Parts: sequence; structure tokens; C-alpha cells
Amino acid sequence: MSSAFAYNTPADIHDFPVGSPEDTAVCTQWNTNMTGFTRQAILGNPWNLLYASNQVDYFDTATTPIPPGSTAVIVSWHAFPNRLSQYLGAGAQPANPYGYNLQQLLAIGDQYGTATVPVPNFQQIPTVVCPQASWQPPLQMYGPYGPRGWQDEYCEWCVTRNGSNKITRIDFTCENPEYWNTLWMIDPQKVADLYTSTLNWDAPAATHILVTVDDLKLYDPTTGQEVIDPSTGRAAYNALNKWNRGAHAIRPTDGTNPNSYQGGAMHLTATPNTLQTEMQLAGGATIQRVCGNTQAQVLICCAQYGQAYRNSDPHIGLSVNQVVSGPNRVALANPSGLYIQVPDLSTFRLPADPNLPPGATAQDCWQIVRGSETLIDPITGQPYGLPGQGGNFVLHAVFQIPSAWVAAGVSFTVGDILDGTGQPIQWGGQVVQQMDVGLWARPIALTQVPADEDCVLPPPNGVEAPPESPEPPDYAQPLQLFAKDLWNAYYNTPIPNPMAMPLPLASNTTLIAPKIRPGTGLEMVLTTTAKLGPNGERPTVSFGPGITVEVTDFNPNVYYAVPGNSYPSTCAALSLLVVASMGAALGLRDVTVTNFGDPVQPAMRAMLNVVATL
Amino acid sequence: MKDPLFAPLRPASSRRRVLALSALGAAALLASFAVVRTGKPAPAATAATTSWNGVPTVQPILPADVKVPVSQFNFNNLAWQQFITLNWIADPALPGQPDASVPPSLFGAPGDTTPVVWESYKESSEVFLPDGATPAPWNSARSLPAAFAKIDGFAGLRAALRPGVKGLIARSKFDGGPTVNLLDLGDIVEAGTGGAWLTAQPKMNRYLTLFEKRLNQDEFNYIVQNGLYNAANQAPFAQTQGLNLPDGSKAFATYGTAGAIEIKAAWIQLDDPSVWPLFKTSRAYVSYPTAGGGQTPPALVTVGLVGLHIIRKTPNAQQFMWSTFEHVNNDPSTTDLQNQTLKAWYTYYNLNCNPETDYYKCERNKRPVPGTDPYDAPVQVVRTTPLSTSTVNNIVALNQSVWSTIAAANPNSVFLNYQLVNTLWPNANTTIPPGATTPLTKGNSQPPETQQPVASTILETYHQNIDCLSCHASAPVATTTSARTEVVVLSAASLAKRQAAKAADSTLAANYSFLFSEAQAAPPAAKKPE
Repeated sequence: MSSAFAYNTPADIHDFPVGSPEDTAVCTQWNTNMTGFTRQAILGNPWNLLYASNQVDYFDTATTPIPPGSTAVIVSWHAFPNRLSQYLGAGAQPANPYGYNLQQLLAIGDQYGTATVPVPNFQQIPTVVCPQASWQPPLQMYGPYGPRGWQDEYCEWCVTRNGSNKITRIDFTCENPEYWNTLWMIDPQKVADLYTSTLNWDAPAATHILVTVDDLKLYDPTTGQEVIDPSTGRAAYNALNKWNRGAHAIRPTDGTNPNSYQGGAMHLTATPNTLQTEMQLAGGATIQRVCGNTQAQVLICCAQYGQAYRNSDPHIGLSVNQVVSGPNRVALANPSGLYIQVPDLSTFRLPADPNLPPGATAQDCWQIVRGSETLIDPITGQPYGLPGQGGNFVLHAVFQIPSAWVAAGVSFTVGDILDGTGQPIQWGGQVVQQMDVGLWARPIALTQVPADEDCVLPPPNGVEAPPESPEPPDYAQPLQLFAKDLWNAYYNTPIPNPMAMPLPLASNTTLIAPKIRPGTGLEMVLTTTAKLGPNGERPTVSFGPGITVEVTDFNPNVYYAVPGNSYPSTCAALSLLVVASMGAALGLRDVTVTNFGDPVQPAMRAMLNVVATL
Repeated sequence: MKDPLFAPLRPASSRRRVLALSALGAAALLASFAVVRTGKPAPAATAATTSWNGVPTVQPILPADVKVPVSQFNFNNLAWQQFITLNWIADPALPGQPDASVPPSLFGAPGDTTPVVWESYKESSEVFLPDGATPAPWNSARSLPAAFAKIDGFAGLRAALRPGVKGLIARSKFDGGPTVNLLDLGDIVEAGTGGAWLTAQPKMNRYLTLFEKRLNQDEFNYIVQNGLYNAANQAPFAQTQGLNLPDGSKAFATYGTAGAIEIKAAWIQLDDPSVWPLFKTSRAYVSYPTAGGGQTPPALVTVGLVGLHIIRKTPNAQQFMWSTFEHVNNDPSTTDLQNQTLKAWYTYYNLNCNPETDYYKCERNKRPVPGTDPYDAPVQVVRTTPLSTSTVNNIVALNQSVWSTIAAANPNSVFLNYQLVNTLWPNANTTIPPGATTPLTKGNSQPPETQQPVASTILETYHQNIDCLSCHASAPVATTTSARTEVVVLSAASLAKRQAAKAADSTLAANYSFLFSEAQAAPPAAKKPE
């Protein structure tokens, strides 16, 4: 579908009628987000890493003509978390000390145990993963933390069981949190309605839930009051609300307490599972390296993008790097997103049931709820991909008994279906193991392969000491910008997680640029790696002409996972008073943070959005 | 014995070739097979090419590596291209190389038993010789498998051997009772089964399935140049330099540009000439075990290819890419059975199997018990993992596409009856350092075993639920007291324990290849008289 925007919504989805004011508003905001994320992907990290910036072979779709023959390439990976197998499972190389069997991995993946397979614990795992995982101390608790943080392959799932603990439904999502935040910015009621319709999709009426706007709001943990987002003038969104949290859902069944209904998978929640992160990874992976590009682990250790031992990040990075070596420039193809690929469930077996329609198979139980099986690529006029190498644009799928079967009298449920090994489906992971996730890369031919660069410096922790020369930079890095009230609420709201590790809700936010109107001021918080000067001098902050910034406070010790990171870490928080003059130019603003005595460094792209109206 | 079936050895420069064919009692039928090789010559392929566009073509080209970015689709395409090239008629003057004069229109010409590229590779027993002897040069004449030496009339058979004829022997595994003779693991025994075999259905006269293992010139060069045909050299080499088979890259240029390729093929004797046009056929001396522990006299027969493993090491596949092909009439899948989308006949599945009369009661994939079950009891084989139709790995669609390509070149090609079953490849491609021990990493192999175990219904009939690397990651170097030097009779269970113990003892890894454990050491030097 042709579009007035350079960046279309994921899977070209339109949750409002096409062309309606709300649809236009969503598309406009989305285009703004993607413009910013793209600039960030191209910039990389010039502040504290060497050979990790100026990633110009990641092109800006908004400004780059794309030749008609530039066919998009699907890059896909297995959906079940490989790090569970790598760090906890039997048979891994390097071997781990835990050796969980396959059923235990399924139990931990679902956080659901049976009489014979209780949920095993998350364990301590390596901190050093380059050149390969080292089981020498220090170790750290398994992460990402969070209610389903371990589901870190850009596919998260949530399981519903009946009163007999049999699975009745599994929801799978690969939708990025940025889209749902965008939708919330336009219309919270639409978000609530979509939650309701998606989580009830084709489910028996008796199990339906009603999601309200109030369910999804951010509340201040101290006052209990909803927190107003200055960017919208309405309540802010809580990505870890009760309907998008955890690996199991509780739905109405006879005699259950309505207050207990909760859970669901509407969009990604693991802290590294964001689209902005994915684009950062892709940008970092474009740089050709001296280490070559045949070994994903070698390349990820050299280039320092993403998380080692996932199915996804090492493979995505390697694939992007190989595409660039074509030679090509590359970007995530429009519409950018993460997409579930349709699995083949032909090894699954349905129980015998006389009420099944002719030809019924387990594949029929895997249903697309959001997104599309195929899309036409406006660049080629053909379905995305090469002939024979297509791909899907599925955003949300479910595995459940189709309502038509139920209406026909089919009495079994998901838990009665046998997987390819002949075992009944006890865990959602058994279906996830059949699934893949993908993204689309768009190559544009170059005339020659870009020159190799050295590995990123400093090297990954634990590998070796940084060389004396060249010396990596050490400047203040802007990380994330919040309206102050939002920061306070997000940061002071703890996220419960099976690892029992401290993790504030600020870790489940986005890098969508906060908005400010000309002629207004706003108290904000900027997280950063900045530090005080020798005499306590605060760093300086600039958003460019027309915007004044006063640094009102400096907190050197905040601890959260900057969206995109797998683990929380310590950084600083600058309290700011930001005032946009009446003449301040509209649009995305970059930000510089400068430690006392340092020269001004490159600006972090698209951190603030100056808008005429909210 | 004069054998009228063979075309004379052709000069390499030949541009017009006539296949002289006849058959045992089927001359009329075979007359229709006679083909004249004319047409535009295909390009020579003496080295791996880096200019392949990633789409299988009916040309004898061997791509240097998978097209990037690495993906299941691209590895599947490479698998098909390799299948085409390795099944091209071999250059009679250059073993292991395709005959560039053979046009695409003769790819898979029915009835052509001329050796194809992979058949001109060395059989593993030609490389790993008794007493760790030095193998004959690559271009030397191929010989019968070593196991033939144990049957009567071997000398005469060897003398009568003609170019293009192979030996496939199924030796008795038993000396009475449920025992396994370690000497004879090989040509009818499926890997990892403790001695089980695979018997075809009555359609194929209940013949035993015959296996052969071959390796290409890169791997041969590596073995010979480093003395690895001698078991005594393997462990020191693996410890110091690393037993790291060549991948065709510049670092391994001394061995060739193709990278190491190993083949395991499965054959069935075809008595019925009417089915020959449906198979890639070869001529072979075959010998089967008899119930009494004896051996049938070698007979020259036509055999049809039913399964083919092609594994290859490339820069992007340090854990090898493992592709497996099968004949489409081997057996139905569980989905075929459920949907009743069945073919008219199968080699390994009886559509009319009667549990009351079938030895195994029609039980699917019933593994024979060595020493108990008869050789001639057919096994009712079913593919437990249907060919994938997932978006990421749509093998069914790819097979259709490649068949169209083949049919455009030769609508009668026998290879229209072969399907890619799956391809296993390393998502975490990892070079193996010197001194590496078993088990080696599986390299996050794709597709995951929990999703689609990559297995052949013919070569891994009884354990279709695991993939190649689950076993091959534990392939050890040979011990200097190799099994082949012993004459030990063990029960199947004891054999398994013994093999596990041996693997544990010799933990230095053989780079995923079990062929290396076939090596023997040179016998101790004779003591000088004092």
C-alpha cells in the first residue's frame, strides 16, 4: 500500500479506519518515531566506544531513493529462547552446571510446573560471554528479569489454562512496545478496546474479559494517582499492566473471582525486546569488521551489538553484516517490525472427535489475530521477499480450538493435542518451539564493499584490558529522556519477577521522544552516563536553538535497564528544566550532554519533539 | 566373466557419447533408455565457484558456500545445487569432477548407470585401510569395499571389476544368537541402531537396503597429506594442529576449493526393470547375509538410489551442512497417511499390509532385533516428520520449484523422483580449535531438533526424532586399538556400551566425522631377532 509516510506502521496495520483523523495521527506519530530511531541507528555510540558510530551503511528510508529491484530479504530465527538452553539446559556447549532437561526448560519458559516437572529455578549464569561463555566467577542471575523477561527472542507468549489445568489458549506476540505506546498517545480507549478484542479473539464467550483504560494507566506508586503524560495531557501508559504481564493468564471460569482475571500477551515486555533496539542492532551490524562475517559469535563479540547466545541477535547481526558485504547498504524494510512466521504444525495430532470438520488439523488451531500472512512490497510490486523465500507479517497469533469447532461440539482442548513427539501440550513452549520470528532487511546495491573496521573498543568485559592506543572515548552519553512525573512513577514502581531481582518499571518504557510545545516549560529527567566535575560541576545539556535547559539536580546512582538492555545497570539522572521559546523550531531535537571540561560531543538523535499542539 | 552391460571407459575429451545399455532380460525396455549425449556442453566445474546466484540450476557447478545472508532457504538451495552437481555424470579421467561435456538434457537420463560425481569419490574403506596403510592415489582405480575380501571368490571378483561398477555387501552380523560381530558393522546396518537393518517391502522383493560411504578429494587430500589414514596419527594431530577438515577457503587451499564432502548413500536392488526409469540406477555386485550366517555369492545387479546424505564443510558451515535426499516412493509421511494422499506404491511401505500376516504386525518403523528377526521381514516405514511447509523452511515448495527446473532441462530425469528432505546448518557457526574434545558444539543447528529433526527415513529409520549433529558431535578420533582390528562378539547392548566407553576414552574430536574412527594403526614392528 502506498503511503504518505516514509515509515508505515508495523505490518501496515491500521487500527483506526484508514484516513480517519486518528489513523493519520497514529501514522504521523509512528513516522516521527521511526525517523528518530533510524537516526539513532545510524549514529551508533560515539561517546564511549571506538569503531561503533557513523554507521552510514544503514540508510534512512525517509531520505534514500530505493531502486525498484531492491528486494527485501527475510531474516528469521527460532522463537524459543536459546539462552534458556544455553545457560540452563543439558548438552550445551560450553556446558552449564544445571543440565535442565527439555521439559524443565519448557516449565521454566512457561513458569508452570506439573506434578512431575516442577518449575526449576533461574540460576546464576556467566557475565563473560566473549569469546565464549565463561563459567568462572563472577556470575550473575539469569536475565532479562521481568514477568516474562526470559522470553527474549522477540516473541513472547502467555498461556491460559482451564480449571483442570489444561491449556485452552496460547497467545503469541511480537508487537513492539513502541507501537502500543504510540497508539496510547492517540487514543487510550482504542488501546483498551484492542486489548479486549485481541485477548478475547475467537475465545468462548464465557471466558471473555473486559479491559478498561483504567487497567492500563500508569499510577504513581506513592499516591496511587494516575500519572499525566505532558506529551498528551492524559494518563500515561503502563506497558506492564495486568493484561500484558507474565506467562500465564487467568480467565473467567465457573466460580472464579473476577478480580483474579489477569494476564495476557499484547506486546513485547522483555527489556531488550524493542524495535528501537532492533534498529540499533542492525545499524551496528552494518560495519564490516576485521574479524570477518562467517561466525556470529565472533562478530557479535567484535562489534558488540545485542546479546550473545540468543537465536536472534547474533544471527540478525551476522545476516545484516553479510547483506552489506554484498555489497549493499541496508535498512529494516518498511514497514519495519518484528514478525512471527507461520509454523508447520503437521507433526501435531488432534484427538479423535466425531465433531471435527473434515480435514481438520492442528494447524487450524494456530490463528493469525493481528498482522498479515503476506503483504505486497511497493518497491517490487510483488509479495515481500524473493520467489520461494517469502515471509509473513504476523503480529499476534493464538493457538486455541476454533470457535467453529466448539460450536460443532468438539469437546477437547489444546491440552489434549499431541505435539510431534506424541506428548500432550502442557506448555506453550511446545508450540513456540515450532515457531520462528523474522524481520525484513532492505538492501540497496553498492559498488564496493565498505572498508573493514577494527573491533569495537573497549573490548567486552572480561576479555582483555583495553589497549593503550587507540584509546576509546569517554564522554557523557545521553540515554533516555522522561517527563519528570513519569520518571518518578516509572522509576519507583518495582517490577515483580521470578528472579526476585530489583527492576524498576522505567525499564519498560520507550525512546519515543517526549513532546514539548513552544512557549512552555517542562520538568524532565535525562538519564545519562555523565558525571560531576572535580568540584561538583554539573554537566551541561543542550537541545539546540530556541530551547533552554537548566540542570536542577544530579543523581549519580539510578539503576534500571535502559530499554534495549537485557540487564539493569547504574547510570546518572539529570533533573532538567526545559523551556521551549515561542520561536523554537518544530520537530525532533537532538541532545548533547557535556561533562565539565569536556568538548561538546555528538548529539543523541531525536530525544525531544517540539510540536505545535499535543 | 564378460559383462555386456558396461559402456567402455570414455575419453575425457569425448563430446558425443553413446550409452551402451542392455539389461538382464529387459533389452527391449533398455533400448528406450539408450541416449545420445549431444547438445551444448555445460561449463566445466573443476573448482568451487563464488559467482552462484543462489538459485539451483541444472549445471554442474559447485558453489563455494551458501549464498549470504545465511538462512534455511539459502542452505536448502545450496543443498539442491550440490545434489545436482554431485549427481552429474563424472568425468572418467577426473574422479570427483563432473563431465563438462554432458549437457543438462542428460541430467538423470533413465538407465544411465555411468558413475556420477559422488560415485567417483573414494569409498571410506579405500581410505582407511587395514593396518593404517597408505591409500592409493586419488586417481587410482576404485576398488571393492574391504568387506568383500571376506567372501569367497574375492580375487576373481576384483579382477572382473569394471569401471563404474560398485560393490555393495551386506555381511552377516551374527555368529548364532543375538550377537554382533564388530568386524562387520557397515553396509546394511543403520547408524546408531545397534545392528539393525532395513528390509524393503515385497514390491522390492524384500531386499535389504545397502549403504555406502564416500568422501571427496578435498577430504581425501587432507587425510593423506596429514597421515590421518593411520589411527596412530589422528590423536596427536587433533591435539596439536586440530583435526579440522577443509572448508574450501584460502586457508585450506592446499586441499582444494570444494571443502570436505562426505556421502552416505542407500540403495535397493531393483529386479523389476519397469521401475528403473524412476531411479538413479547403478550396477553393483551385491552379497547378502543368509539366515544361517552365510553369505550369498556376489551377483551383478542393478540397484536404485533410495537415500543420499550429502554433508559438506564450508566457511559458513563449520559444523557442516547436512542435507538429505530421498526417493519420493520410499514411504508416506504421517500426514500422507492421515490425509490419504498416498502414492500407488512405496519401496518401504506396504499399502496393503496385513497385521495378521506381516511379521511385524505392520507396526510402523519397527526396528529389527539382531539375531532374532529375519532379514526378509519388511519394515513398514513412515516418515514421522513430514517435509516442512513452514514459511521459514518451505521444502515442499522448493522441491516443486527445483523439479520444474530439472524438468525443463530433462523431462525424463530420474532426479524428478528425488526430494530434499531437510538441511541442517549451524546458526552459531563455530570453528573448532586444536585439542577439541567430544562432544563438539552443535552450533545452534537449524532447524532445531525440537522443531524439525533432520533425518532420513532410510538412513535413520528408527530414530527419526533426532538430528545428525546429535550423534556426529560425538565423533571421536580413532583409537590405536581400533574396533576393526579386533574380532569380538558382543550383544547389541554390550556393543552400545562399548562404543560409548570407547568414545569416552578417545575424547579428542574428529570434526563431526565418524569415518575417522574407521582408521587402524600400523601393526607393531616385528621384533628383530637377537
